[in-house]
Amino acid sequence: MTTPCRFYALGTCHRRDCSFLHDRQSMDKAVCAYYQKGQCRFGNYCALQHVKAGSGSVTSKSHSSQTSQASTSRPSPVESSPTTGSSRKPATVPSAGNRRTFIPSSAALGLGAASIVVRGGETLVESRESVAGEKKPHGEEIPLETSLCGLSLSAGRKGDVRQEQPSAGGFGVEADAVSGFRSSQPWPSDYPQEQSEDDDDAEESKLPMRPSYSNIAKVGVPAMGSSVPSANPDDSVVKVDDTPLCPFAMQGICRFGDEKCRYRHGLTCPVCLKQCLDPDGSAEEHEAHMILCHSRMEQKERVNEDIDCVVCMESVQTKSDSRYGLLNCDHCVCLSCIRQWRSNQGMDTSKSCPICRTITHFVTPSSVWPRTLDEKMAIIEEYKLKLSTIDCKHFDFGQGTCPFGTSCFYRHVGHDGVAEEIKLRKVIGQEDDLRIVNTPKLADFLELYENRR
Amino acid sequence: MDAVTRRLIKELRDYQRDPNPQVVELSPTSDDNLLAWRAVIAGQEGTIYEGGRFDLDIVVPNSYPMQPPTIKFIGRVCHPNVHFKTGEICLDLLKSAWSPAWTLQSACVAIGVLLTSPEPDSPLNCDAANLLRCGDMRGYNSLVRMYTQLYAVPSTAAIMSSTS
Repeated sequence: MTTPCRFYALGTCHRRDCSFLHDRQSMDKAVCAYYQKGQCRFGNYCALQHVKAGSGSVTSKSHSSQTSQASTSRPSPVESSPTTGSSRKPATVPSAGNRRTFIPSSAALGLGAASIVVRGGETLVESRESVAGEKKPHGEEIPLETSLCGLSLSAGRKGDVRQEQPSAGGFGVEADAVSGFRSSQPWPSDYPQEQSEDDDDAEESKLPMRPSYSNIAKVGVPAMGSSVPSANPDDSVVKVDDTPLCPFAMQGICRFGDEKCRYRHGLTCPVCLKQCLDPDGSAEEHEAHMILCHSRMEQKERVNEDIDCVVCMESVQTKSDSRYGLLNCDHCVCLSCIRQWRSNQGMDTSKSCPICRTITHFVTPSSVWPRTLDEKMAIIEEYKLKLSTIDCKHFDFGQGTCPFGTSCFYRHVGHDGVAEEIKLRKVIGQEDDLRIVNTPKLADFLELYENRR
Repeated sequence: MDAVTRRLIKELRDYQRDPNPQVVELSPTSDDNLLAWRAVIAGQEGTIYEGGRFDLDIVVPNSYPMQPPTIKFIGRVCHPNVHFKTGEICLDLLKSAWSPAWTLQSACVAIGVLLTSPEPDSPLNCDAANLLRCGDMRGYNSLVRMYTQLYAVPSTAAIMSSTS
């Protein structure tokens, strides 16, 4: 029981008999290994600590820790003063709710943003544009009103944080308990603890407490008052144009149903029978979606066509990995077979088609078998486009060298976001033929020398 | 059932459904081991190997069809690209030019074709290859016919073995 439970740290371990350590303090120490490599894709929403490798200092990552905070407001990075930065604990107590929340985009959700700026000892909590809608993902089952509560508190802290505390009503006991826990932390006493209190609120917000109308009114958030009239469940579905449709309903299953789901449910598409048509969308958009649906349905039907892989002689669709590998020729192979064949070093012909020996330099995975050349090209282009958004592991943000050079499909971008500078040595021969000269390597000359001998 | 077994069963079924006339017999040696096969190919009519039945021993590797099977003649075959004693076959298809699209049956057919189109520049049987390279077609043809009669034609081969 010494290894901390990673799922507990994310707030998702519900096992009483979990064999790993359930310890709040250990959660503070969980360091994000991806961040140390410079590749944490969760950014500010990462549940683990962002500590630079080799140093104990916490970077300017504010945990958008708790449910309500995470959903209603997006704290901007905390600028910690250099004197406190190295010695203190991270600004937040990553409580059980410090889970990674699925938030498509705070802007897209029309959420308000509150930025917390900590400089030295003084604290400023700014509440920016307030809520347009309280839509939240299904992963969290926090009543709407609690998210309002969190917002009202964070927004209300504009002046003085402590003074707002009483407005939380019966939360005092809870807050005391947490502050008792906090007092055991080795923080400098002058360290501002507003961040932590946000977490207190967040924890409180898990309680089925409902803030009174007066609370919200006192806070005085005009936009919120207009867009979210009350905590009445009947009004909880707020029609705002830019709120996204429920992603679950768009996939066909929303366990909350049309009435209870926080997200908007679209109109049912007559083709795919999923609720994916935006009720506020134009007829053209609906038309475009249905055309897309039709083409997808056709593709699916085609999937049922029995095409056998030339290598394993089985129908590709019946395999566990039912993907085709598209080659330069028109022969059908399944992806796993062709990858296995191409990794076959001993054969001279492994980079060619097993049937016609057409050389193919890259295999494109595809879940459908294209009928026409145009379809095939579209699939290949889409695949290349997708790869170009992924960072090349060989290039390694400029620290490594990619053997594929300019032909690499992956993204070559340094840590600073600047794309790789492509240096090509071009040579124009006597017959005006343009050649590209590779970067000379010592090994080339050695090889030449060996061959001469 | 792993991929090799599935593919070999499929190949066996394909052969039984639609056998190539040149491949007289193709089956695993026993029901227990699907990786050891035995094949019999017939010498094409109108060629110097006419009337002969040539036994082939096939060993399928576990990495089949990514790696080629090992095929060799069991009886004695007089051919520039076949080792006279071991029956080893020199065919690029069974080495570097292998492709997973080939099957055991098609490989056997290819060996049958090799019999009639020898490649004397990469010989395993130097005597036969030298006859060909010198252009002594009469000598080569009669030598091959003799060995085919001696070792590959069932009736005479039985007589030969009973008399010896």
